[in-house]
Amino acid sequence: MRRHIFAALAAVALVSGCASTTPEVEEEEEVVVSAVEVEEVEPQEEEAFVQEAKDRVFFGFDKSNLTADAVAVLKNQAEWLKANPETTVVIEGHTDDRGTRDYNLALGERRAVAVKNYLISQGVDADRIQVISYGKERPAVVGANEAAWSQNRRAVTVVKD
Amino acid sequence: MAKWGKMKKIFLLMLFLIVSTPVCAELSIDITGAHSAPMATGLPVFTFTSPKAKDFAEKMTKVIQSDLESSGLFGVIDQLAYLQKFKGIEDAPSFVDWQAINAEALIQGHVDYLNDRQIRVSFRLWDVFAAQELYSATLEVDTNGWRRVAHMIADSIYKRITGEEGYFDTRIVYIAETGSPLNRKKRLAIMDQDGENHKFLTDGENLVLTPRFSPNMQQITYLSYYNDTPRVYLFDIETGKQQIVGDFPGMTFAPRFSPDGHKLIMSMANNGNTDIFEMNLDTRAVKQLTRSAAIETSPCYSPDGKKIVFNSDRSGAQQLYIMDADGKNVKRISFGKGRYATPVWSPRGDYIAFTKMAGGKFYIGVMFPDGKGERLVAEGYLVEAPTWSPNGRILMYFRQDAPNYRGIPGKTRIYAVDITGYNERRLITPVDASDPAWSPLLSNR
Amino acid sequence: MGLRLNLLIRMRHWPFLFKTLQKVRDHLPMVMSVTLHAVVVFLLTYDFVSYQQSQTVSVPIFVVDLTKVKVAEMTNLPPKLKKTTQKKGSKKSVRTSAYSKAPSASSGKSSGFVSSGASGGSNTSKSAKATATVKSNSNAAGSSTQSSGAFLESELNTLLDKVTTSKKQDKTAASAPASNSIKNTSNNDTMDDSFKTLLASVDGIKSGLGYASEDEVDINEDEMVTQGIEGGQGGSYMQDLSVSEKDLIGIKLRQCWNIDPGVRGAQNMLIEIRVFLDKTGNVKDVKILDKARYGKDSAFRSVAESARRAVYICDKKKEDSPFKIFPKNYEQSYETWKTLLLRFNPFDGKVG
Repeated sequence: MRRHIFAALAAVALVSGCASTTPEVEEEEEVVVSAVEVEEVEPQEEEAFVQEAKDRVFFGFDKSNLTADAVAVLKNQAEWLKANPETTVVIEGHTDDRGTRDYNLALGERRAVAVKNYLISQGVDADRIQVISYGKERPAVVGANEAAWSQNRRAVTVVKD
Repeated sequence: MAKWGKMKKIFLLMLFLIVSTPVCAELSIDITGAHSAPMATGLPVFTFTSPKAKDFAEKMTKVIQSDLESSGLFGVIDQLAYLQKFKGIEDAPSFVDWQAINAEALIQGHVDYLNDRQIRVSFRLWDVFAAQELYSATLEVDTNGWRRVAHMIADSIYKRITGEEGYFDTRIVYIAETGSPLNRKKRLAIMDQDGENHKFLTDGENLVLTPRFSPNMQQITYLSYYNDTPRVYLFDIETGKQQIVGDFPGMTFAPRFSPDGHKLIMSMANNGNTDIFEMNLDTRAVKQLTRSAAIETSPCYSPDGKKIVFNSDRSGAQQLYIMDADGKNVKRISFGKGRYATPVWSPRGDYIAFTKMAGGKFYIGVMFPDGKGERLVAEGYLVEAPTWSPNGRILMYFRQDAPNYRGIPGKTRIYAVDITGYNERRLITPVDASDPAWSPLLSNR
Repeated sequence: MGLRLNLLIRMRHWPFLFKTLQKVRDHLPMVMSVTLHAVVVFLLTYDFVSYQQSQTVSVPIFVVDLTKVKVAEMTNLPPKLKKTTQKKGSKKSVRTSAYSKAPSASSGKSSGFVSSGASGGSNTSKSAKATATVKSNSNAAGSSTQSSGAFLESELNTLLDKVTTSKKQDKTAASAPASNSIKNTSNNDTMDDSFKTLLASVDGIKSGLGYASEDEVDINEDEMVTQGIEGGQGGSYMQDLSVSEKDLIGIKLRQCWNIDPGVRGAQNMLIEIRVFLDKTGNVKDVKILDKARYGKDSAFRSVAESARRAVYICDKKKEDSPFKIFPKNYEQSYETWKTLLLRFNPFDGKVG
């Protein structure tokens, strides 16, 4: 649920920067998050923007370096965090299942720490960020193809209470 | 003079004839190579004197039969074909009858009540064609220990025929899995190696992974996400109590006991780096064994405790390395195409088993500790985590089938295969299963 | 007579001895007879079984038939002939005889053998020089051979080496001398002639000894021409048991032999078993020979027992038993196959 609120707030933060009118904020809504996917918040305002809620970044196979896309997403995350200094987050590191269990736990940790280090470099206080690795234990998508696997190689930023 | 000469000549001639013939003139034939088929075995239902022992006699015979057949080395002949019917353990086998049905080995047994709570089991193992008794023993046990005695008898038979220790009196600890793959529930579970006596050890509230037995069988070490904090724990089988191991600043995982049971090796991931650490369970002292920016994990001791084989990606991809138990002399041993992981040293010391990933597929393989002689024994969409039987003859691992096109996940199950690559069998579990670990022989403690 | 007189004259000085000798002289025939009997009895008691079998020496069993030459039984020849699946340069795979198991000789020593044994080579001095420069990469047992059979084989091996390396060298003469087995390329032409003659003789010897030649040879076992070599250890007088018959026995026993392939150390095992047959080819007794190892090594015991079982199982096949070939074809020479030495080797590559 926290994930959802963060996504909503991120969208709002983005929107508020460029729209003239203030859109309705949806954070009052309690939306139940299904186990299958993260619900994406539809922006309310008329101006179409295709920015999706980005609480996660993706990685290449057996890699833990941040791509340009990832960096862009993380920049926004950092901005939001700096704007909400009382929040803390947990970075979850995940992998696809095309590897062995132990190694994937380590790889997930590497990915989570890569995200954490970037956020710190953007000015977020280190004490506010925790990391955890789930290796291949918590896939986001089930499938035996690159589309599914690429969705699972991710680091997700989850806002804690 | 002439007489002397003639005598001498005759004498010498005889000596010459006697000595000049060669020493050995036997016909010799070489037979190279053999075939390998399960050894035909006669196993008539154990006899019994008192009627209430009948149940044990039948059940134990069944357990022995399924143990021996599961090894792939014995083929028990159908009872209906037997010509001789035993009345007791003193009955001598009529070898002609057993030879007639081509039984190479014969197991003759007898069960009876010793007193109210105990039974006595006697058995004899015969070589039918050599007409010779190979082994016999008598065991006494509480009535509720009948399964273990049956396994121990199967172990004695296995040992006498193959020359190696058996593996039937053992248990398997593993992770029982249920639910959607996106929200999997995982529980620690334990059972006999034939799937009987199954028991869940945790309730699935917390994610648990990679359990391993201690050499003295009292404890299991594993990874638990209790409190959303992944750490290595010890689980006491008898009391059911769980205890965190050490106080580490980062995630600890991939734990294993040392062969003497006094130490634990594991990985710790902290600040993006994973290294191997050793903890002395008596003193609780912690020692770092690897120091590299690469991921070092899945450590495993050699059976003599002098070396450790582990998995590292310091070369750019996952490969296998060996080092001394103190962390020195690191040497790479895997050089094939593909990624190598989860190394496990055979209890016999002669092989290291591993998971290999190449060409989009997974394999289970073995290699000699110097890295040579690589041989693959299983393959699949996902096969992983080999564990050795205590006699180093069988590899158990888990296999996960690929999800189908509709996204329905494949099943996850435990399989076992002989190191020769033959006789792959599935271990039946109540639900999906992964991360198996084989105990030592229970009777050796 | 003169000698005796001399003895008597000397003996006069030792009266006691003289008297004894006189007694001996009187009963000399008796004494001689007793001594000789004692000698014979002594030798017979020390397992002098082969004396009886030596009678076959006098019977010329070896029949030379121009259309079908039969084989002399030699235990230290290779057990069966291997068809070469040819990879040029992998000549080591051709030789699988017992000699190969011994450690390889130093090149100097084997070249010494070659130069002395090279027959038909007119340029023996040149060939000797050539072999000296050829780094012997054969794995024949040069230094540790003990019999003439092995001697000849090592010669053969080095000859083959020479032949093939020179052949190889001919082919690669134009290209850079990558082969490090022949150092002096300048002797190429002169070596050619001597090698041609050597080739001829080598081919003759090769086929004579039953080695598959370096070229593809389709070995039809019926046409097998092999010559036994006298001497050596373990020679036998079953000179007319053909290779195909011997192979058949081995194959049938192999089919009766069921082993557990994962037994530890099975790769290096050799189980020797003595089988005692009666006149009709039935097995009377089976004995595992290495009792010491049988008692100590449980893996050995396991494989040895399976080999023993194989003998019994084959015997129980009655008319299909491999041992029935003896009363069928060699009924007259029961003494030669009364006992058999079976050598079981679990691994010759892989278990089938």
